[in-house]
Amino acid sequence: MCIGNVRVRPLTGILVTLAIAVNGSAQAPSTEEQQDLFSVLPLIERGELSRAEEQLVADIERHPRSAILHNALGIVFRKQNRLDRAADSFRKALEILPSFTAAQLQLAAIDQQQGMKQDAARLFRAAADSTANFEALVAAGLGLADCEDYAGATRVLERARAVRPDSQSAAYNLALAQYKTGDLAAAMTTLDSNGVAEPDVLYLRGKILNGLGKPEAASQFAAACRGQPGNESFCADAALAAIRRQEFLEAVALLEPALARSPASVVLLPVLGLAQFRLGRYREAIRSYAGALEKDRTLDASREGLGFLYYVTGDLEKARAVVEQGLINPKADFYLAYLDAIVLYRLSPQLRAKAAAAVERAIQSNTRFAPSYFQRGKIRMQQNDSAGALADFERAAELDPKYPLPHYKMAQIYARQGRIRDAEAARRKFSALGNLREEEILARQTLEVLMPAAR
Amino acid sequence: MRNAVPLLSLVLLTGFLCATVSQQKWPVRFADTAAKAGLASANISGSMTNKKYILEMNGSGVAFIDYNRDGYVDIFLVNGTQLGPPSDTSQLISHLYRNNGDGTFSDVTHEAGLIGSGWGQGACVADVDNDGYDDLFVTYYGKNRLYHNNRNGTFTDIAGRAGVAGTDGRWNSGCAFIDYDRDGKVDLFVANYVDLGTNFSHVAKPGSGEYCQYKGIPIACGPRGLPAAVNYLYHNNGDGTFTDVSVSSGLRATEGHYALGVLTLDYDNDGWPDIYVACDSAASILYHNKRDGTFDDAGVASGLAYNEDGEAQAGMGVAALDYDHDGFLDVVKSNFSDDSPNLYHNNRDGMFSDRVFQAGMGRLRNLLGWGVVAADFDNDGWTDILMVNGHLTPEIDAAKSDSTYRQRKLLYRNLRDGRFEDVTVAAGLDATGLHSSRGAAAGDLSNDGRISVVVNELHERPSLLVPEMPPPNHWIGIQLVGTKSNRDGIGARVEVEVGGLRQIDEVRSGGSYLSQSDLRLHFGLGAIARVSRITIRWPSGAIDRLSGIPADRHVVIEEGAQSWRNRK
Repeated sequence: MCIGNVRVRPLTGILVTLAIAVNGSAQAPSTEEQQDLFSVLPLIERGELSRAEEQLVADIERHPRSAILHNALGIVFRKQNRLDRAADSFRKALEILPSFTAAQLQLAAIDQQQGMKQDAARLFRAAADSTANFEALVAAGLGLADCEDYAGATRVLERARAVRPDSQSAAYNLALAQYKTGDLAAAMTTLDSNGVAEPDVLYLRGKILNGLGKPEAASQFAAACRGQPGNESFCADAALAAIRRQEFLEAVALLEPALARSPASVVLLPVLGLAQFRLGRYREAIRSYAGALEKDRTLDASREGLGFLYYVTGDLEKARAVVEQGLINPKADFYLAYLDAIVLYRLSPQLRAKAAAAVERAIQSNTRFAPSYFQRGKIRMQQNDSAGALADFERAAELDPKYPLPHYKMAQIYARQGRIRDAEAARRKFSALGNLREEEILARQTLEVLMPAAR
Repeated sequence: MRNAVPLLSLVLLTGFLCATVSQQKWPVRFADTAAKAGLASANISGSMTNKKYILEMNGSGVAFIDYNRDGYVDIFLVNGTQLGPPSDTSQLISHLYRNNGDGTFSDVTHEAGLIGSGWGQGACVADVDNDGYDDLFVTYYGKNRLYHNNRNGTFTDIAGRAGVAGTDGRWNSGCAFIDYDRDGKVDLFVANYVDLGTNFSHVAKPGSGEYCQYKGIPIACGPRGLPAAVNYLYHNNGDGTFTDVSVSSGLRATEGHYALGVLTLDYDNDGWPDIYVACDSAASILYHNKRDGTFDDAGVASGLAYNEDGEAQAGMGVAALDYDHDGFLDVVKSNFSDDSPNLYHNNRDGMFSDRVFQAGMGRLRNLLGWGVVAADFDNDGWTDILMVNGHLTPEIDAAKSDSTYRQRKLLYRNLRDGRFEDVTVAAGLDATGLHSSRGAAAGDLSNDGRISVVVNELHERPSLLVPEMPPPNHWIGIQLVGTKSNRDGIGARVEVEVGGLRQIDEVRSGGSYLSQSDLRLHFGLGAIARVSRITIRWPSGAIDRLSGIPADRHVVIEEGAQSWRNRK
């Protein structure tokens, strides 16, 4: 089970849920029912599910009101991936024993699996409310987290932790839930009380520190990656953190052991491509992105990286080919259309109309990406549509107040229109925002577009 | 079909000057003859392997000057020095090499009296006192030197007396003599880079800040993050002295640049010379001559300040050429790696469009450009472009990036349709090795129509790139002698008409990266052995027209004489 990018420690074994008490219930199972159940458990454990099913059906004929036998049959069906039959069995168990925690958790898990998150969450909450059992509370907490009820998960996991304050997994999962609710300080406190330095804990600490804007996040990610280089998420995030700190060689060093284990990883290769790009190893970066794209041709992120690299290295024909192949998909990411526009614009003045069409597509897909308006403004400027160009440059500047380039183009248009004061004001604004080199503008785009896409 | 006859006529009229050349074999192959020719002195620029300061990274320029008026262009190689106490001062000097006229050169530095040492940067040439002998200005981090030609093979530094030495701690970079007020005396423009002051111990250590690294590799800081210096314009008083008119001329209205290469050109064809300055990581400057002794910065308005989008570039070297023969000078500028050079097309309305990608020159973004020269190497009547490249410091090789410390040179052949073709390999330049090149100058060192190039290579002896054979085309070299105008005719616009095409160029001091090319103008004539017409617009305003000049020679044209003579 996962919460976002963070892997949780799942409870082990379905049988835990069988053992979760119906103890104390007024409708405790009879000795005979329990004997029937314990006789079928070895079959389930060995995976002899047909025999288990046959035996349980026979048992239920003898004990049609046995909640634990219906529950066990549901588990068998679930293991056979016969989810509807499984759900029916769990519901039958709950009809017989509405507070049967194990059946609540099992049915909730199926509802969650089938996308009925509200029903699932209701059952997880009910299960948690009806038990003080540690494992059940943890299972309910994790289930609520899977249903994106992180506040509910936090409450349930806090109870679990109260039952077993020394439980590392409870502390970890609670911290995880707190992290997901955005309560980063509480998450950090919980995690620090854990005292464990295992890779997943280090990784979560890195996530929390990253959320708190602390640069120490990078070292946590790096330690997590080094501790478990086979974990692609750990190493991808570690490398991205290193890239953000402009420690590009470190990023490559983190990725290399991970890639040795997963040479064709579509998670790691785009990140490696980014690091190589920032190191100026363009040919290597092209190979990395191309490798990821070869593995999965539907990945917009890798296609964007590859197209971007070809653009950066001036190989405009290849950039166009890569990008336009992706644009065959009508749902392609806006940045591909934007890349197409800037490639076509640079490739030839004869392709300006196509560049204009591409940038229109980019804007339709994402109305808030300032460089698209800047690009359209440039095209309109070439077409002597000064009013249209000005509107686009103004929109780009409005969307990204730190974007200097629109002001430069506005200054040029004003100067050509004889609006000297406006031109000077735009020029001053442009200067105040700083002189950025193309490499820096492109590096910024990697941070804003390609880096998030890589994750 | 009605158009067939006129089109055919045009083709016949223009000979092969207009024919497409993309399928033709590039005819000029270069060899580096420096060692054989005796150009043996090594460039010095601080530490060879561990550069702590940006001052150690920029290298130096090279100047062509016929100092002894023997008709052969000589070579002056500017040199830097070392940080700390010098170990062997005899090596820490710039070098003057006399052209022996047989492909070899003799080091005459000592006998010429040019043994000054220091952080030499650039050089430019002009006849400052109109005495017929070219003088030499050398820029320094520190005080500049104006070497007055004593007409006997020696020079005397008169910079202090003339008022152009500046002060210690100034980082002077590119320079150019320019008769900006057209009074017949060349004035002097001196670009300045970073305001380091006399003691640069305040400069942060490599790797210590945002502007002290490259691709995550610690390197010397700057220029960004360091204070920018200001540029200087000195007016020639005609009595051996100059007056600093930097403020009154309006130069100081624009500041905050890190100025390097200097190019003088009349970009708007108004007859008044303007100044374009390539700036590093900041807007480049176009000092537009307002014809009243003042300038304004037309960089942003003209489109020459940045690339097309308004992105700052690390401008290094710069050259002018009319690559499409439209009668207006275009501009080519070299830039940093991860960027493209600029090929600014002059739109004839005071504005430029960067057509580097359309021209096919935007691909090789791993190269960091410095010296750039525009010359018709194959004499086909269309100006080609040669760029020399190299990265800042050997440390960057640790990044193992596509951009290495030592890089190859690039030769772009003009395809006559607005595009250029990379003919580096065909020209043999790939075989001249990898270097970290800086200044470059071009000229006819052998007086036979072959354009050679001298490159100042960081921490190495220079390269002398000489065409192995003369190009299979005709050519003409033109030396101007001003009478009312300044003696070298600096700023004169020359138009050569041949085969129905008109080529233009200007006599120019400075240019490229901190360098000085041959003051004589060179025009390729293709298959046509006679120039139909030469028109000269002198800085004085006078216009001379000459016709029917045979090809394959250097001619001297004196202002107002309406005649030409062979140069000896």
